[in-house]
Amino acid sequence: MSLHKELHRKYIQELDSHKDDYAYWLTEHLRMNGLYWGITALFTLKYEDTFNKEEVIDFVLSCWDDLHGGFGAFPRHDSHILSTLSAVQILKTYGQLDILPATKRDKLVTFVKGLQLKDGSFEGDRFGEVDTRFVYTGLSCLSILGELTPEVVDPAVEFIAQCSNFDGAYGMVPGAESHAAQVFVCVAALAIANRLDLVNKDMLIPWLSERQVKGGGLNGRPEKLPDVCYSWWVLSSLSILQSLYCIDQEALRQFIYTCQDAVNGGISDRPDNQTDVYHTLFGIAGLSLMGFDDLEPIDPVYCMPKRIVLTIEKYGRE
Amino acid sequence: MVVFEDFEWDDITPIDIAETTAPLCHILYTEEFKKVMGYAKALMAQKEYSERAYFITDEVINIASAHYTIWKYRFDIVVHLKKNLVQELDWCDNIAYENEKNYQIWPYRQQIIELLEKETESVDDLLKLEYPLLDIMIEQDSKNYHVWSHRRWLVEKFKLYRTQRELEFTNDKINLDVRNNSAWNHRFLVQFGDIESNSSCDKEYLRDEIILTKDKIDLCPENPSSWNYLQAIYKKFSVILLIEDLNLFAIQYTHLVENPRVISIQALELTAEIYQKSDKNKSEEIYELLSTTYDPIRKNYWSFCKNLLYQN
Repeated sequence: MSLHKELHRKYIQELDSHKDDYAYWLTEHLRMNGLYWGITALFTLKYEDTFNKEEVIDFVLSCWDDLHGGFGAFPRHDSHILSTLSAVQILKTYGQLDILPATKRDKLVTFVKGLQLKDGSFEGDRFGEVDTRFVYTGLSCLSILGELTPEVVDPAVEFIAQCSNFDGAYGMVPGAESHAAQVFVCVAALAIANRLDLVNKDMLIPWLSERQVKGGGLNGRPEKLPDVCYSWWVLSSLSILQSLYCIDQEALRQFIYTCQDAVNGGISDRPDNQTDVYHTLFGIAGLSLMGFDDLEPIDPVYCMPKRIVLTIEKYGRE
Repeated sequence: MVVFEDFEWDDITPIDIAETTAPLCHILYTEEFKKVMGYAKALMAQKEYSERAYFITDEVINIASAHYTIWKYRFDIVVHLKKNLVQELDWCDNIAYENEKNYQIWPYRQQIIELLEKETESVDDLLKLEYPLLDIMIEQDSKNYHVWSHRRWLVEKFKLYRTQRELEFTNDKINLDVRNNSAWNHRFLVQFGDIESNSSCDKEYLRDEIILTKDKIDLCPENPSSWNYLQAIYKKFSVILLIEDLNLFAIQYTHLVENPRVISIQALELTAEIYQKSDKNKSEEIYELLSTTYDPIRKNYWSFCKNLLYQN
């Protein structure tokens, strides 16, 4: 078995031409995220020129929400922290962050900072959904823009510390069940804040290691089924904690391969299920983290090409 | 049932949602979707908080429940029109049943509950509205993260720690499926969520809970959730519980006793951990066994643990 790079390239490229795909138009609110997932997958596959750069940038800019600052998922959508991060990541990946004039940049920063609550957590938008995902999203976004300050970081770190559970892992909010995706956002957020010292490594590393099931795949919580996206959430967390050896990498590799659609390209959560761009990215990113298939190295904290991330100024480090 | 034609729409122009300059992201819309979203966006743009706007939010949410902006809009309308909040929760129930994986329903529900709290005398009356929904949804998917999370929110908000209903609920779920990690997690919250670590607790109460947990472990000695739960209790109340007791229990599920009923990976790991300082040889032997025989997929991790034993 191998990674069907060319098939995946074609799959991602054709995502927009699914004119008869019923589910496609339901996901308008995910469009910016979807674009980020597709682009990052392409860059990792070393197919950076698949999308037309100008078209991508045009689309991103057309999602700018001038009323609130930040980017929505689609033109005329209210800005949201998730789509704002994806937009910033896309611009950064294409080396086009400067295309944002200072006024827009400032508005964006104000928008993101304005979503932080007194307890350090972040809302997704003014609507009020709170989730540790948004803490990571806020910190990552501000980090890429070089706008992190102690006023933002310190309370955020406090909040994350409270989301640490009795098993050493992290949940969505304090007290919520430990979940691998939440582990990633908390550990990566702490990495951005340069506070990995707060991680209970002795408990978290075994917890992450135990996500691997007999078939080689990774699950998100005890006694749940494996899913390719955990190839990212679990693996990146282990990578940040410098403990990738805790996973049987060859077994995971084979699991990821079996989740590919060998005819049409794309990767699904489990073998023989419906593929989507989200699982396609995270399967490929997992392989990259493990150093397989001659892929572009990906950064485990930012989920962007490592060489791009090198140009991000790291908080709290000389 | 209210329908689109019950309202006047002539005064408003729906926004053309298919309009976008970038060919990169063309989407095929049905006429129905275009109409509903077009009007919704037009109404939102002019901040209209009317009955027809309320109706439109229902239409949008039924088609695209994860469209996050529409939830905020609906909330504002509910407040403006002073809608009946109990009926609103009812409506929310139906959306929840249809969209089990939806994130936005729950913060919305919580905001409505917070409004309702101000006009309700009895918390119990409020909770009566919650339980049927949560019970049914957990029955459908016993590990639904959002639903358990919402239940956690209720426990914290209304201080339902150690209440009979919550304890019985977790008990039921654990009895149904002892491997349900969400149920164990919730139980820990309900039992100890409001108690500081390293503080005290009624010894009898703790003892009973430990006995219950041990029974569940014995039912299924390879279940990570119950072992995690037991360890968590010992960690949290380390000032009054002895790790030796935990060791004595765990060791029964290892090769270190004669005729163990079952050899459990979790018991081996726990035993090895307990012996790390006091009996390195035993620890090493266990890590070796885990690596070669009982849990080879994590052999690198067990090797690492073994090597750590002899480092300072």
